[in-house]
Amino acid sequence: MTFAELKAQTFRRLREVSPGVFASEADIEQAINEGYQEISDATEWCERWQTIDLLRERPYYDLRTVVGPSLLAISAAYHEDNNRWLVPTSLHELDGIDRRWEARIGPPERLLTRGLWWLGYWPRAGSDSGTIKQYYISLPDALADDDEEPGFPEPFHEALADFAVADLVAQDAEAKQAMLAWDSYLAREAGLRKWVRERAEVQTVRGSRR
Amino acid sequence: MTRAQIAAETLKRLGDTAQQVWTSDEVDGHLLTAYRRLALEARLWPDWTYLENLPPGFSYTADWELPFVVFDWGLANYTLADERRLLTEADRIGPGWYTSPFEATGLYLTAAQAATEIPATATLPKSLTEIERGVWDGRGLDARTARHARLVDSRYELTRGEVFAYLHEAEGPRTLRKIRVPAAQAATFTVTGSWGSLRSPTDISGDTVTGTWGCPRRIAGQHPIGPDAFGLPRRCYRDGTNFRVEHWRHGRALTSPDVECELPERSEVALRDYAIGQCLNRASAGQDVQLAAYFLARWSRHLARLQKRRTSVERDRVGVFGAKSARIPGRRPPVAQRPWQYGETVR
Repeated sequence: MTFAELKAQTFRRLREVSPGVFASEADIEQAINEGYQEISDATEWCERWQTIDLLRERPYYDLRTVVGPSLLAISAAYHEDNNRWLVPTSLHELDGIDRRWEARIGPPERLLTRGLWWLGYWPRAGSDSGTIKQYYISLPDALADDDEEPGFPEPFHEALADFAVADLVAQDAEAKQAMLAWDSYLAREAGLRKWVRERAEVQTVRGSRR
Repeated sequence: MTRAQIAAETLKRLGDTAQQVWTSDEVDGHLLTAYRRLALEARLWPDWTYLENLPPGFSYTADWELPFVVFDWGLANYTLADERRLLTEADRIGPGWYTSPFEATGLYLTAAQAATEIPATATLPKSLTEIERGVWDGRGLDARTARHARLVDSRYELTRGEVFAYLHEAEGPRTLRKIRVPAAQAATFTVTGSWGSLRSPTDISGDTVTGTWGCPRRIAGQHPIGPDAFGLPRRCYRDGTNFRVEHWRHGRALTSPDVECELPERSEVALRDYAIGQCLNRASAGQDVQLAAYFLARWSRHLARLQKRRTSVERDRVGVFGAKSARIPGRRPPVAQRPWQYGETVR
């Protein structure tokens, strides 16, 4: 569904469920885009990657400064110079291995996250050379043009209209209608989440799943 | 968005921009509660603080001065032991011997034959919510309980030497004690000049400088501290014989309506949902318990998502032959056998 179709559907459903609710086109666009962010945040479908330049003795990198405020979560990392995946680790594990782990310099082998946006590569790089292919989850760009479509599969597009209806009728204190639309949104969101998680699980010849 | 912008959006969605039912103060209160809850429950902001092994200094003499202090070098209201008796016991804070770090690091205290003892206790920043790790001289430390510290060394408040553990109880929620009492002053950079901002990193780093003018934006080995993780470093720290606390903190204090919220825009929506939910929950002309539950459910979903996401990358881990790396251990590795560090808990 295009942005225009989503807006038209939201208008129609608003008229059906709550004829007294007035919403401008700008209100509907805002509500649909908020729904787009909500479903993207909940299902983490928008996977991206970015090359990060390694910096000498850099303790931690703020991924927001590279990919912007749309960053949601840090994912896997791949060292492009020696073609190895970095092993995710934790502070306490590193402390258990070597109390002076911070002083180690060398090609990164492990990925360490601090909070939601900061990450460190261990050992620290000894020079300003080398790159890491850093995967991450982000929010998609907001829908702006009428012919734009959400980035996830079409069967789940209607979730955005559900969210918009719930959001707009709630602003007019139509609790019952809001809850109905919200439940519908949650069902579609669960469907998309299932699709995101299970899309890689291919049925094998023997019929067993991974 | 600023606090005022989020509050205005909240009131607009409540349909009460005239503030007939809910006031902006009430909305602000809920927004700040949600902001604090995100910091405490989702642990969003990691940060570092150096509790430097330096003699005690001060830059203000009474608590009420703190909001006006530009450079917070601590609080003290007397400088010498003989002044102590001039104050009532409950009012004594100190002693503090100097007002700027360069007086200690530049050995001016030694030259003036002033006291140079290093205190074992340090005050933690008010924004700190939880300590994650203590580091001394670049080495991870153990956290101790007061009871265990007393058991191991009943003179731990006096014994001087290398710091090998820290204590965060028994002396107040904002006081951290280093065990042992630091014997050596922290390693510091010798910087040409004693005030203003850092113009050239050549005193600190041998790195080739990129660019020819302005102030340094990044220095190798240095990590930005505080809620404003941009701009220029004001003070650079060394880890050698120094004590660093890695901790979680609150977001940038929203002390006035025009302060920018430190959350990403996505999470600002959660603050708004929380405030709407709380407003609708309150007994008033606009009370709607069902709608309040709807908005609070949206808030709870967001909070749970952030909590789960913080450890998501560790779940991506894959097994490696010959290593126990399929799972991050949820408990400490085995304790070393006697006699090494006999009687002490180690990771």
